[in-house]
Amino acid sequence: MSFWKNVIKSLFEDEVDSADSFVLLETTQGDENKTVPEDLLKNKNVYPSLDVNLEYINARFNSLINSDIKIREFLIHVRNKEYKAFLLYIDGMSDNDSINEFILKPLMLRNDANTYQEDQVISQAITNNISVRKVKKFNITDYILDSLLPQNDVEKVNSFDTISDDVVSGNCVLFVDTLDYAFDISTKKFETRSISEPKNEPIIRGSQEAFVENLRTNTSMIRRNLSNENLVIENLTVGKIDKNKCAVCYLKNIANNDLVAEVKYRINNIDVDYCSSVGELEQFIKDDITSTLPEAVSTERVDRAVSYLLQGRVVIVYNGCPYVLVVPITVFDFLKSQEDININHVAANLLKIIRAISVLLTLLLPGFYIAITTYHSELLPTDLLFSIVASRSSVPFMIIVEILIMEISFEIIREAGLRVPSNLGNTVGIVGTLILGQAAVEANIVSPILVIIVAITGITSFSVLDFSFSFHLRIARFVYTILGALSGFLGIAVGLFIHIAILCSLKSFGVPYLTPYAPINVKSKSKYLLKPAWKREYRDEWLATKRPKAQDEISLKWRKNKNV
Amino acid sequence: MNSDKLNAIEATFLVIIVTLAHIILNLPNTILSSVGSSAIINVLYISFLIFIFFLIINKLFSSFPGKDILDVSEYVGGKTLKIITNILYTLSLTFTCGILILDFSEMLKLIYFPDAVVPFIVGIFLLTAIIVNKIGFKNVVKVNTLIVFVALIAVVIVFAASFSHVDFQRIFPIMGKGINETFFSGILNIYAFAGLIYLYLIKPNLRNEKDYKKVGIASIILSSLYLLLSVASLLFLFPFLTTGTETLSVYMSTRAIKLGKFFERTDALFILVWIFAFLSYLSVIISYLTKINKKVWNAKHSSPIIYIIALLTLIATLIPTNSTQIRFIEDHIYKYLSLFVVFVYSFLILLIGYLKKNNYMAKRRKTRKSIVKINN
Repeated sequence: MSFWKNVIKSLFEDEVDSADSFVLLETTQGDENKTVPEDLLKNKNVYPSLDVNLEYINARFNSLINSDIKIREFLIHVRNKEYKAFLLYIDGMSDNDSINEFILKPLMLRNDANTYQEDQVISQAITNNISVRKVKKFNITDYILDSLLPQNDVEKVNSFDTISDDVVSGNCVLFVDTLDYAFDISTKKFETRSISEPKNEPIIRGSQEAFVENLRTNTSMIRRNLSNENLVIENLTVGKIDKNKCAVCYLKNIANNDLVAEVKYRINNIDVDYCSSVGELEQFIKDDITSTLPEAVSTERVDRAVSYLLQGRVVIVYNGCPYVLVVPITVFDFLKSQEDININHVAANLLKIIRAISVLLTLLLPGFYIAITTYHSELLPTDLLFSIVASRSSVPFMIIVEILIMEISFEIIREAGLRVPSNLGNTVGIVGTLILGQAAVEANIVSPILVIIVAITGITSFSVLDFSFSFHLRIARFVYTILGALSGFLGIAVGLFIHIAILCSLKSFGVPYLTPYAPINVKSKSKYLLKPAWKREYRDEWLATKRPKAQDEISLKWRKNKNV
Repeated sequence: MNSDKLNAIEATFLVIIVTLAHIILNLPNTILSSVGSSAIINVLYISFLIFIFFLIINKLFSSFPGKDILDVSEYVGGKTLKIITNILYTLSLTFTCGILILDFSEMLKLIYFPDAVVPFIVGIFLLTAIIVNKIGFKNVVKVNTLIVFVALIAVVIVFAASFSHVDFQRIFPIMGKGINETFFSGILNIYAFAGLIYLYLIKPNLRNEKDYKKVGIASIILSSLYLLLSVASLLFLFPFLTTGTETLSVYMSTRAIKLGKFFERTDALFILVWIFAFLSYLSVIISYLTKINKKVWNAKHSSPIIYIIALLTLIATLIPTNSTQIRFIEDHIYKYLSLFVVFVYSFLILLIGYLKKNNYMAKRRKTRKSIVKINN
């Protein structure tokens, strides 16, 4: 009863989508450093007061929300005197054992080095049982360097910029009260398992590093590739029983605040017992929950995730999964490869056009074939038409049945090839495509031209980079095939029209799916085709970033300077 | 931000789709039949007239910021006139839209689906429009923008590809059937710009109201240009005496296109684009009528109105019983109905509204002056 009630309700009532309420609006520019007091920012050097330094570091590294920025406050014992101090480092990029054993232990625990000895006393007076000792003067900096830090590589630094650069590259920095400089200690050690090459997103030129299953390793890989203190990695928990961790990464001075807040809001409001993977997480946070289209890019490439971060997008790392999610996206992101930015823009654009053609062929080729051969045969040259008719003459099935047999067989072979152990995968492919295909043609079950059509469709589908997007195309292809069989171009046009309307209605975290083409924005700087590397001046305007410009107007200053 | 607001390009393409749908059907043919080889001059002439007409509308609308013709009707004659205007718009648009879809479906049946029944093809069109409208008004506009762009390119391709068969001699006699037909009785061809009906409705939906003039001028220029291209390709390809045949005018031009030896008949590809254009046209009409009816009747949901509008369109398709009646309705009833609604009724409402408002403002100024005088 409730089913029919829902059907009638959906027929006569307008859908109110709560996700519609979030639209990525223009950003409030210039607020990227609001958390840092302005007078603090003016000074670029270390303060003598530890509390001020701590406040500065908290603000600069967003340590209150940044899950991997670690600040350890403690007391240093120097010749029986106690000084307040703190240690700054990034979890996952520094060697914890080294920090514990060779920095914290010598500084905190009483030992021969930090307690005074009798020979350091110059004079001593005792009055009313109070002993007053005058000890030799000593330099605390030299003392810490010489006696308390048994490390091979320690430097005195007083610029916050240098400190920041070194911390994000894996060093730890020691701040001591009353000192207007800090100790930069080399403790680099990246948490890794043997990081492998990307299996599903290989490229020729560029990084060959892929994410692994461990969350902290993945965040450290992002940190290593993006050395900037504005990179914020916030830890959130998903699931009530299996409290799995996920990290929301963004550049605080670039990403839109509303976007970051929306991502965190959605992840924080998933009321489930468990979420097993990043793929499942994507389904929990997407705008249109009924759509088969993905609304986030899933990538295993560290460099790709980093370039998205630099554009102002948000990357979601999920513990236990070697893929990360990138939001928001447009449909054109599924046609981008990391290779595109590594090669000349002309070659990249050629590849992009080929990918777009591949998508169209994957989607429409079987539908078009059936529509043309059944309803619009005048489109074909007479000789070709004769050869198609001749090749089909001995096939006993209707053309739609023939094409469905082939398509379903192809999908079965693909699925089997994926699921069997990798050694057998190739064999299944060879047996399935070559032997069975040839046998089917010889047995007059299918026509040779159809084998060519299905093979082209299959090959073009492999040029679609995103796994989930490719699934959508595969589902839609069956629909277009049936529509083409039912009413030729009319059916395909109807299908495409509704399909485009659905695409137009989709949003990924407030960004329309077909941006910048629907809604059309002729002034948009981010079109489908790439500009030369030196002319990519602006970030995608639909991301409403805090730093719309990514390059200066004249980025190749060396050329200009030479001409002058 | 109201997501239903349109930018200038979206609004322009909303106006153009109506003209485009008529161009695909028999509009160029009708113009050629009425004025002969002076069709190009006639198109330029009516384009100029429509441009002037729009400038007048723009001036009249300037007194009603953020208002459409329904609001102006309410201002002129209260709620009753608003409802009358709404009913007139709804009936005229559903009627003309229904006839156009019927005509196009008849053509499709004739060319590709000889065994199909026309109501079935009409049903496919209406069902698609309902589904797309259920997805939302703004999405209809977005799809329309993409499709109009493709359709406009297709018209240019038709003209460019058939250029090798063009015979410029066919422009003679330059005055066609005579000066009287070209400039006096030919003035009625101004109905070709019936798409301007949207300019009476679109103002409150514009993201930036200052774009209104830009939208009007751009849509008139583009519509004129494409009408000119279609008329020219038909005129230069075929002797105008043969254009009385009852098939899609632009389709006839596509039949002349040959892309090498391999593609000798590409017309089916253009039919695909025309189907898109008609689906878009139908969806736009239904979505706009839904929008204004929702506003007038203060309805909570759009869906029931979408069904009613689709039903009215379906009823309109059932009125003519044969192709002759369709042709008669298209060439005469549609022509005069459009002329009445767009160029007489709406214009009069706007003019009266403008005068009433001016009168009211003058009175107000007078009263203010007298108050100031008394105070002094």
